[in-house]
Amino acid sequence: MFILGIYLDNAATSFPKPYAVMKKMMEYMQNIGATSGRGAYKTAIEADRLIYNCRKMICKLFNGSDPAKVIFTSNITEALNVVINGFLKEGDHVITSSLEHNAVWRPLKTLERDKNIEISTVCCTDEGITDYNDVEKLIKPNTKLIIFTHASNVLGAIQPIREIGRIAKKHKVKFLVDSAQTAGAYPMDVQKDNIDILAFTGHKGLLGPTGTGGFILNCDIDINPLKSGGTGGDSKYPYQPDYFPNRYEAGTPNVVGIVGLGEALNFIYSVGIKNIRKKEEEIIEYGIERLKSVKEIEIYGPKKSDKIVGVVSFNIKNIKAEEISYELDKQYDIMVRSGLHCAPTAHKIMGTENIGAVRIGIGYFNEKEHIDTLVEALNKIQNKYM
Amino acid sequence: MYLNNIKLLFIQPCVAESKKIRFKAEFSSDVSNIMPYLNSVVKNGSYNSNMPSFTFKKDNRLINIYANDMTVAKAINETDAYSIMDFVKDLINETYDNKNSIEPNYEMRKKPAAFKIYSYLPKKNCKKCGETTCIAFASKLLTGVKTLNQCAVLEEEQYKEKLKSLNDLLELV
Repeated sequence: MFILGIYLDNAATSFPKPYAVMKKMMEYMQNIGATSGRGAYKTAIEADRLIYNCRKMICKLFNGSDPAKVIFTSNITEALNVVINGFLKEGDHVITSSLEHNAVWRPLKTLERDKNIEISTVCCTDEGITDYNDVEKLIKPNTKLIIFTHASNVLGAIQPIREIGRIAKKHKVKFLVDSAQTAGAYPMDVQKDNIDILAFTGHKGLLGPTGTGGFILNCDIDINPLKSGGTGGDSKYPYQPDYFPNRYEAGTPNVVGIVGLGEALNFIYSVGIKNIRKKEEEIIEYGIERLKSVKEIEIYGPKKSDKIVGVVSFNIKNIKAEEISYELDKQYDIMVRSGLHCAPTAHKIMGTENIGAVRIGIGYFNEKEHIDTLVEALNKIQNKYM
Repeated sequence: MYLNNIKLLFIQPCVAESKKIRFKAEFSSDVSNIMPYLNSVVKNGSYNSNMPSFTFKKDNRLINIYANDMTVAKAINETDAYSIMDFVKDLINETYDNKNSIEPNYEMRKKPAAFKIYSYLPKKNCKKCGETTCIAFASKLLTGVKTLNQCAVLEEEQYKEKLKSLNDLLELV
């Protein structure tokens, strides 16, 4: 497969996808094509089977107990919106990290404005490291939900979710984890990590296509559905049904996307999460070391490969982040993302909320040579601007 | 693995409960020989060596296993259908793997006697069901000619528990 340039924006979406994913999606579109949960003919039953299989594999990957409690949404933002808006009520208190992506931050701020919920953010170091003991100090009688990103999409810092989950359980507070930067790239277990609801995206570390994501319910919880509509069966009943997964899935699902995601999960199984993490950690460590050699560079975050996922943000003195990424793309076909990365919260911690930063997102298909080319390019850009 | 695959053949709205579904699925291997072991492992199942078939309930779903296929009534939705197929496949394979340590049970569960059914009926002989007496209605229930919803008196609140018991007794017949 020929790939143009060097793709280092896997934190936005992963590229390339395994060939088998694309092949399976094409086969589905050519030979099956039917939607799931509606017709009862052979190809519709096959579509049902493929979707169920994907639910089962998600369950297996995260050690969920029931495939019916794997709910598909169009992306993790929708999953987070369903839970946050469907669960929280007037006057509820929520505890969250200081590093949340807008997918969490905006719904919370909107509820604060419109429904008077209270938000407490847990402080962290300027590298994005959170002490889980600080979470417990913020719990109050009206605390209903703790929401934490598993790893920051700007600093890369991995958050102590197992310990936070334990605290949540102790105080009978629900715990929602945003695994956008970790699912498929870092080991996770909803039981051992004490996670009540795990929101996931299909198109980053899970190596599936865009338009896929969802959440896993690992507790009894009353969440008002965000959408109502056709669920395939029970058509006379005028409301969303109580049973799963249909309660939170109205309308035609992204069948071709979910089929692709199922195949992507096969790929992840065949490689193994531990091996994926091992490879990425090696490249992260190599990347940090090599980046340090670039003159006038300031690298943000923990700068230790065991403390971060494949996300490294930096700035070079006297050169705007946007100019760096423009030059990287124009002259060297290297794709990175500059700006605030939909996470002004994290940039506030870093002190870069007015200037943003350049972010590289390392994924499973990156190699050390990509880092070498990046560093060479950064040095040349630096010389050009001096 | 003894049973490699269970393939869904069709899915339809359930006759017993309109909000539920029923479905039929095909086995990749003949499971007749496993049934006496299932009869031992699964409590409150009903084995019929003549068909052969093995019927049991799992959380309200009624599962009928035949030599080469299965039918299920009162499943929730298609996700549930696949979940039940997984459950049955695992059950059959685990039972097969452990069969040397299981005592097979060839006993066929007896149908309840007409008098047992009668004991739960209102005994008013009101004839609303089309039968002259409740004992006649009980016999017809056992042969499947009549169904419980044809007894209007059983719909009354005071018979709620008895109706439930009758449903349980008749379900596996």
